[in-house]
Amino acid sequence: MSATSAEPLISARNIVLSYGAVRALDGVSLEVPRGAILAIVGPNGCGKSTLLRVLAKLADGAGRSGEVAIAGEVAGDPSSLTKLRAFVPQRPEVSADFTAREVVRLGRHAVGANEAAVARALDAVGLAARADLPFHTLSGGERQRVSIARALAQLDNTDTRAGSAGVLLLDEPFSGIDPAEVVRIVQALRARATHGAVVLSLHEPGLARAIATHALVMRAGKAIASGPAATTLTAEILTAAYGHPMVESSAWLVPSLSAGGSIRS
Amino acid sequence: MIDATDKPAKRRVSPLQQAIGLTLSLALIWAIFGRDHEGQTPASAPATAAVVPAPRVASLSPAITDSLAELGLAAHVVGRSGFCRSVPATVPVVGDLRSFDAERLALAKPDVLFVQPPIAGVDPALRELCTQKSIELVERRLDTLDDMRGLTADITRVFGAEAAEKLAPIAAFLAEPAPQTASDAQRVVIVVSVDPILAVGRGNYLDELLARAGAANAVDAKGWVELSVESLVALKPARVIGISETRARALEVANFLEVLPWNGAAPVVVADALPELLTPSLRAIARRGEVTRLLSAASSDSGSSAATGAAR
Amino acid sequence: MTQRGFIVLVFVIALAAALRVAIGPAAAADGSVHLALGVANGEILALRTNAALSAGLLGCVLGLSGLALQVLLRNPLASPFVLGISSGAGFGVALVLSLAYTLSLPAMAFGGEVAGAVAGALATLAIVAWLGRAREGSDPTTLVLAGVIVGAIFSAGTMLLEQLVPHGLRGDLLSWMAGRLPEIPSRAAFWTLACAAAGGWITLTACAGALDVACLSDDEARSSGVDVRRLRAMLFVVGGTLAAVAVAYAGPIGFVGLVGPHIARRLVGPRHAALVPASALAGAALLVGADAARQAIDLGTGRLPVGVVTALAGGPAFLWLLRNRARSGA
Repeated sequence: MSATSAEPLISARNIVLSYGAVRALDGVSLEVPRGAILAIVGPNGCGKSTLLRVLAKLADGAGRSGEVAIAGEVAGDPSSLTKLRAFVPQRPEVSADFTAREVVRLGRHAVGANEAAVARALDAVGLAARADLPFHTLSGGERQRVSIARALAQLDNTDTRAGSAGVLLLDEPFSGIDPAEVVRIVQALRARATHGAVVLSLHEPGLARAIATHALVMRAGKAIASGPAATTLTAEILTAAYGHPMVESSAWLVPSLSAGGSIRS
Repeated sequence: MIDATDKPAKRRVSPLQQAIGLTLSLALIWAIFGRDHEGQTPASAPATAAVVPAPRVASLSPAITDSLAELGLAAHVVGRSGFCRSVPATVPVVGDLRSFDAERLALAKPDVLFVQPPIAGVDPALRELCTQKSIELVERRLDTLDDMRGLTADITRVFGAEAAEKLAPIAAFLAEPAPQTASDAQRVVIVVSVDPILAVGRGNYLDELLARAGAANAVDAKGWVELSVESLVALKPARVIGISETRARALEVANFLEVLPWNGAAPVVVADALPELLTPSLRAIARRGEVTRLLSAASSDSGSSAATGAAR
Repeated sequence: MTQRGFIVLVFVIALAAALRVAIGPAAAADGSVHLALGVANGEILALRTNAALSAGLLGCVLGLSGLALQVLLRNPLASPFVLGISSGAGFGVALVLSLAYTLSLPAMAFGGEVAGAVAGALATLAIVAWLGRAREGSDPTTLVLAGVIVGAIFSAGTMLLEQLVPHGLRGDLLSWMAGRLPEIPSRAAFWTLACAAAGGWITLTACAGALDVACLSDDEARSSGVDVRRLRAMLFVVGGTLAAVAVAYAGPIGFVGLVGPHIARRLVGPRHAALVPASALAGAALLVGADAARQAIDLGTGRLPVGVVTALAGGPAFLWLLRNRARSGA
């Protein structure tokens, strides 16, 4: 069964995940259409990270029910799964003395070595010039970008059933990142979304509004709203989610995401 | 998949480090080749390097080497263990109680090898080597007087008439039957160290020497026994004998024992430095008179007469 | 850089082996024994070559085991014996010996020291694996803690067994813990060592790519297609089995498995395709070098135990590595 362009790349139905007596996820369903940038938004502890890991098929827990279908298949074989999705955690860890380029190359482990894909990925995050520096000497934002490049390199394939329509899943990729780097990352995400899709969790909704096409708002393990970003990320819904009055404001500053800005990496 | 890119900022070895490295290398080379070992220089080869009388004997057991030295057979020893102090240090070390140096053992060309087998048994590789080099392997445990008797038989067999003279009194002593301990025999505890108190129990050579000397070992347990202060006091010995390596230790032992809470039943405490009694060798047998002496010595702080055996 | 690193390693091994074979005791004309350069006859050559070869193989085993456990536990201070294996094997040996003594049977009736060591090591591995199991595969911290505790329990058990044996013989139980490099290994022992080295080398090289990926966080590794749980299980089995073989062959010899992988990393970099063979070679270089050194050092009380030499050399080497790590900020 091959995925057509109309079929969602990821669809989750009624996900329930419990840790003992605590329900981390309580009946969450969503769909990630091709081309989407889906932002999962909500307060701390609402289950954003857990949901992401479930969508990435990284959470094997005994207390789990519900289905996650990636490219239409619920139980795919592990090797094809690596071509369909890649995960970027909140804080990447590298416990060996690799250079940035070597770390990105690790992403190709299961899908076959391809130096061109590695180079493209490094370019996409703007680290081509610093690729051969040791990972440990890079700043937090640069390390985050390296991890994203690793995931991008993993999904850079043209021989999958769905073209190179892999889904990039990121857990709070912008926490502690400087504005210029935020822009770089967003550019890379948008590029990925043109072929596949992007799902990311965000702690604060302002950035979500700027970059996301779709949104899912969570509170205490439940999805309280989902749909196109414009109609989902409203003051009303967000107030319900955060339990604190949220208002439209022009007082906050956000990084300028217009394509014309020049950015030094 | 050779990574062709050099790591940036390679450390350079400073001239000082190079100099140190060079000096160390030269020192190492000199240490290996620049001097002779085993205390020999070519110009002054000592007389012992001359003819060794047959049979050539090696020993991996300090106790057995002591025994050979006691019998005047040290000249036959061509290989020793690292802890054998009763033969000259110039005799090469060929192993110890639990391992052996194959090359040095072979170079020493012994006819007989004495070992005290460990619980695990003699290393099969050592057995193999002895077979290959036609070395007679003599295994002898040394715990009891019976074992000593076996050792004298081994030595007689290996050395023949040469050993007979010195061996005679020891062999005669060992051949005597074990006496019945009289019911009114003096109750004695022999203590080897204190804190914790290590006492001589039943079934070893010191216990048997004690019995031969007419005393009764107040300690009932087998082997070498760790006693608490209270259990020692409860034994109500008439006499406590301390045997140590050195005078200082003997003093320590005596002082410790004298101030124990004997509750009025304080025993006579004597202690002396008698290291030769502490190894199960024929030398210990030869010195058995010390045990008899200590059984009747008066209690005193230093606990020794002028005529102690073993100034080393 | 990788290529140069390997050349250095091979050169050091060759040098150490050459020294081991070339230097040894020889009889002078007057019958005294000196250290000398040269090999008197074919028999000595065979003896020394065999000894150097088995030291080299043991070094490989230790180096590979150390690497496997350092990757498994994500801990650069891990050594082949960090999981309590040396204490467990020591207990096994003590058990065999004290049983032999108490029941007045020869130790061989129980398989000898080797059987005790192997049984003890494998029992320790099983217990630590069981204690360390968790939902998503063994957690490194739990494994290390389990190893420390199990090791301590076995050490106490050994001390307890000492009480069953008369004072003079207690040293027998403990002398095994000093480590002893057999100068004339039996055929069975030699070939077991060789198979272990080869098996470990091949297995670890086969998953070298996965080992690289495992240096990422667990989620990243699994996202990249590596079955982290299976990889960890494999590392535990390989690292533990190699350590058990090493400990059964020569008792606990420290520092080789700890320092070898670090030297390898310095010389050939962090990628496991190079690191696996380099760790084996570095371990071999260390042990053959230590064996060669102790032929040359003569303190008048016989050869030093190899464990003493590896510690005396390995200790400063490790400190030097630590200092350089601190300076380069890695």
